[in-house]
Amino acid sequence: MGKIKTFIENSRKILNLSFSIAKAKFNMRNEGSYLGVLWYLLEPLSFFAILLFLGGVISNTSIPRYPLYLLLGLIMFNFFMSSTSSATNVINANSGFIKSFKTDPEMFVVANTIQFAFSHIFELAIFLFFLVVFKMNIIFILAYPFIFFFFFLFVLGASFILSILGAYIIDFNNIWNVAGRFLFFATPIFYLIPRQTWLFAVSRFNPLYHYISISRDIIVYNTFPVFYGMLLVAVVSVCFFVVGLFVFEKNKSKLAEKL
Amino acid sequence: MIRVDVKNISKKFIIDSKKDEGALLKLVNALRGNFKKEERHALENISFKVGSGEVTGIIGKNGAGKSTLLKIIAGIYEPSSGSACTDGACVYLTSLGLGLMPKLTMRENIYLMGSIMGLEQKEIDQKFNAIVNFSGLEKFVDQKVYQFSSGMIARLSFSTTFFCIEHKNPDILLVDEVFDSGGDFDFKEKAAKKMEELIKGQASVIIASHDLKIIEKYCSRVLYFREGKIALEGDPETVIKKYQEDK
Repeated sequence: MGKIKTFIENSRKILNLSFSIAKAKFNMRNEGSYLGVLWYLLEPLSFFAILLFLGGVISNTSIPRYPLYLLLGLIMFNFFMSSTSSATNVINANSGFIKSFKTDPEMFVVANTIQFAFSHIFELAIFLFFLVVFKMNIIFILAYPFIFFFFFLFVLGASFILSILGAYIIDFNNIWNVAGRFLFFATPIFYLIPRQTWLFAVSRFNPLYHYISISRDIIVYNTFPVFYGMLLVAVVSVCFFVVGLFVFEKNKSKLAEKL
Repeated sequence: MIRVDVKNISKKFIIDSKKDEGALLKLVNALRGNFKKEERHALENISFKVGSGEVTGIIGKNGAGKSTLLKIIAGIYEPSSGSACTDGACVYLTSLGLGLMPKLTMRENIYLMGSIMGLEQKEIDQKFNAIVNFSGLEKFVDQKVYQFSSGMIARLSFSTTFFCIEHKNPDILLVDEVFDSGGDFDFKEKAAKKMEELIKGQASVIIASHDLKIIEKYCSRVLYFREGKIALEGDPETVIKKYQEDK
């Protein structure tokens, strides 16, 4: 009983601390003003504009409500990619603390993911604006926090593993960014995978595909996917988180020496 | 009452001869079966005890294992063999100014440093004014730290670190080469007094330093480290004399 109490107490402490660090880092990144957020939004938005243009002019896409389909896919992928890419560097970036304080280094990884979740809120606000422009029923966006909760766990689990790899391999960040490019094209963000193709079969094993397509089904097309499918995604997210945390816990005591 | 109990600690560092190599080189070397690794013994069979309220000094040349030992006691490193048991809250104090973030304001930095050092938001609220007053930087609370001079940064980091430590009221204090607070003469004097208060308080203290005057002034017992082993242990006068002879 005492152990569980200590565990809960410790987790609460780490979460509080992660939140303070994330807030400070987020402020720092935006130079303390909300105008700084514009810089952060510029990349996904310009990418959105280009892909929208290409989709409309060149391939003449037949996906219904394509701008919404595209934007939601883009911002979800952006959250995944920016937080995991930054996670590969997070241990090195905080080496000063890790080497000189007895800290729980988990907090730097959690803070990193929370920091990008803050930015994600701004992207969502833009998405919400588009929903209104397209005269969609915005009530369906209320389902997003539930999906995002599991998506967040998945990203956090991945970040735990990637942060350890990043601490051991100095150029891992480059490798992961290249892998991210592949992942971007392998995930149906700006196109639709035709069913009964090999790519569709492969995509079923890509967790990102599921988070994005469940969100699109509900928010953009107002249909609910089968319950068991969603349950499976939730279970996979929790598993990913647990495995990631396990890998991190196994390796964290060696971090101070490695840096 | 024993606060720190170090039993037969040894520490081996595996020095990867090409620590900074990238993934591709690592792969090539693995394929060629080239696993060249060196071992370095930083500490060998170290044992000692520190009682409640006792101040112990550690001296020795660079690379003798002083910092490694303190980091093992603090729980930052794991020993290769042996054990270091501590009874009570333990704080490791090393070069100041590590955690300051130049793009944040002084206020934000105090809160961030405080929380990383384990203080709750409310506790930092209580200490905030004392930190600012001690640093003498009341006028610059909402200015960003990159606009500070190096002396101001030294003031800020010393004040924040010390008030946070004081608040935590540690039973064991491990001090690793932090006696020069930086800043101007007035501040140095003020900082030295604060440091003295902390050392002479109730906590058990282990000081690793090259400054023999400080060791002589505060410590009741000194350990002389040579190549990872305790070469001599005893009262400050005898041990320091031996150390100086060896030099």
